[in-house]
Amino acid sequence: MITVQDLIYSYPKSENPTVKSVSFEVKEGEIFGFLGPSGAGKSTTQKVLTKLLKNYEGEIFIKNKNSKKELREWKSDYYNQIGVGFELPNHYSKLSALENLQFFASFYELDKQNLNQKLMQLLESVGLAKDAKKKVQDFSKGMKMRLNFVRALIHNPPILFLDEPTSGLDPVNGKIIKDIILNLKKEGKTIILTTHHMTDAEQLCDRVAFMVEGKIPLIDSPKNLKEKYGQRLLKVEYSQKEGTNRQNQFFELETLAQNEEFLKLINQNYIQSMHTQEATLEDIFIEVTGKKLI
Amino acid sequence: MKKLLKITLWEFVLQVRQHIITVVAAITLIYSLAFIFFDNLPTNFIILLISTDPTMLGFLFIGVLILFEKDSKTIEAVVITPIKKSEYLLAKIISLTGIALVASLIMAFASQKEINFFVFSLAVLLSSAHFLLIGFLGAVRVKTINQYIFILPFSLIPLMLPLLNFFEFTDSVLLYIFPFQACLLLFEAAFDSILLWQWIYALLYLPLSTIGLYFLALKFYDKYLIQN
Repeated sequence: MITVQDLIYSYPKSENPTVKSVSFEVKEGEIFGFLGPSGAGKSTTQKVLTKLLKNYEGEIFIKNKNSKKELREWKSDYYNQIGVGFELPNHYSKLSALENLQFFASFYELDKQNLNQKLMQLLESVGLAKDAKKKVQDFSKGMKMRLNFVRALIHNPPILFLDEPTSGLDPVNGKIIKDIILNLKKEGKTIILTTHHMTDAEQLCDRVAFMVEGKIPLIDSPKNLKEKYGQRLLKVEYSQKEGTNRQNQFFELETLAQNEEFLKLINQNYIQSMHTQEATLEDIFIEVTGKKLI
Repeated sequence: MKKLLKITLWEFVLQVRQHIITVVAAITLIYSLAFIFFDNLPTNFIILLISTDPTMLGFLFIGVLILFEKDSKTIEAVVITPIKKSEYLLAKIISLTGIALVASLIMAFASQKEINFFVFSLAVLLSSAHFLLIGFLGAVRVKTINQYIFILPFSLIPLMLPLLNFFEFTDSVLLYIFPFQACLLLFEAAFDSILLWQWIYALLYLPLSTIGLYFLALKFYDKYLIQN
């Protein structure tokens, strides 16, 4: 769906490139995540892909069209193919939530029939239906972020670029957004997600690209990464009786069924918890890049 | 065309919500009452007051609209839609010019002078489009409304130099370089008569310079609104 080869981008008046020769491929119907700290070049890469930034080096193919030649001819129709969810709220604050969606809907060739009903369904999906006629200037940041998110879906695009879609949301609304993203994937959408929340990346992404200082040192699925970088151990937390001092012991996963010491421990003690010692994406990120996800 | 109409209608809604229309209505009311009350005002003075509506106010209003969009970052959300830059720009020009035309016509009626309303409307339409485009070129290059208001007198005073000819302080052909000279001539033609060469000058120079500004504005849209 999207192939990027040796992409380099420098902002005007900047001595060093922000994106330094990155290559990756996003398959149709997958959720591909850019995981990295602020300033890593994630949003810049996304802006190049959404044609907001030009004058880049390298090659970009989207739906088999080369960005420099054919994409130029594709022009505004390209924006019928993509939906963009921005990191920060950007709405017309004097308009209501519904009016904001109607305003942006007017830019697309949408079927007028039932349009308002469809827009109301979008608002309903993120819990904003009751606030549809409220001016956006009276919205909280979380409400504005949810409106940002559904605005990207107005024209039902096959490709979605979502920048920090759960930023500023409480856990309940964060989960609602994540569930919608997973449903969009089921519908066959290709989703490019930019985040520095490792849990979002872990829960949503089929593959993640670690991005740091404009480079991508690693691309893989969260599952593969956790297996590759994690320890195949089971940590058992136990005490002799409930309420007494807790102790920890580690056992190899491969030999667990035959491990007599393990079997004896779980039979004779009060088990507080058992956890496999998989590495978190954050641990792996630090190990691979030497940087923290801030 | 249909899309342009839809976007233009939304521009009107935004201008209502941002109280631009309220400000225009208030100014129109004050000027109109003044014209009715002082019914012997000199024509030159009336032309000066009416011509500031599509020119200076248009310059100010488009700046406010663009900078509001830049500040709230709605411009980012707009440029990643299929809207063409020409549609974006024309919607603003058509809506603000429409408001200026209605306001100017009300003031013209209130002036109780003998006016050729066709020429008057032409003067308003061309002057408004011209100054809106100049305002756009200025607004996309600055970051805040305060910066824009700061550059406003420095940008407008040189452009308004043809007023020296208009009030007969000078009689310089050099001032015909400024398209505002053509605006003033067209307004003058609506109230009085002007020479044939002045007609030719005004009807060629003002539309051609406006077309030039339009193409420059499309370039500035790419350079300052999208790339920045």
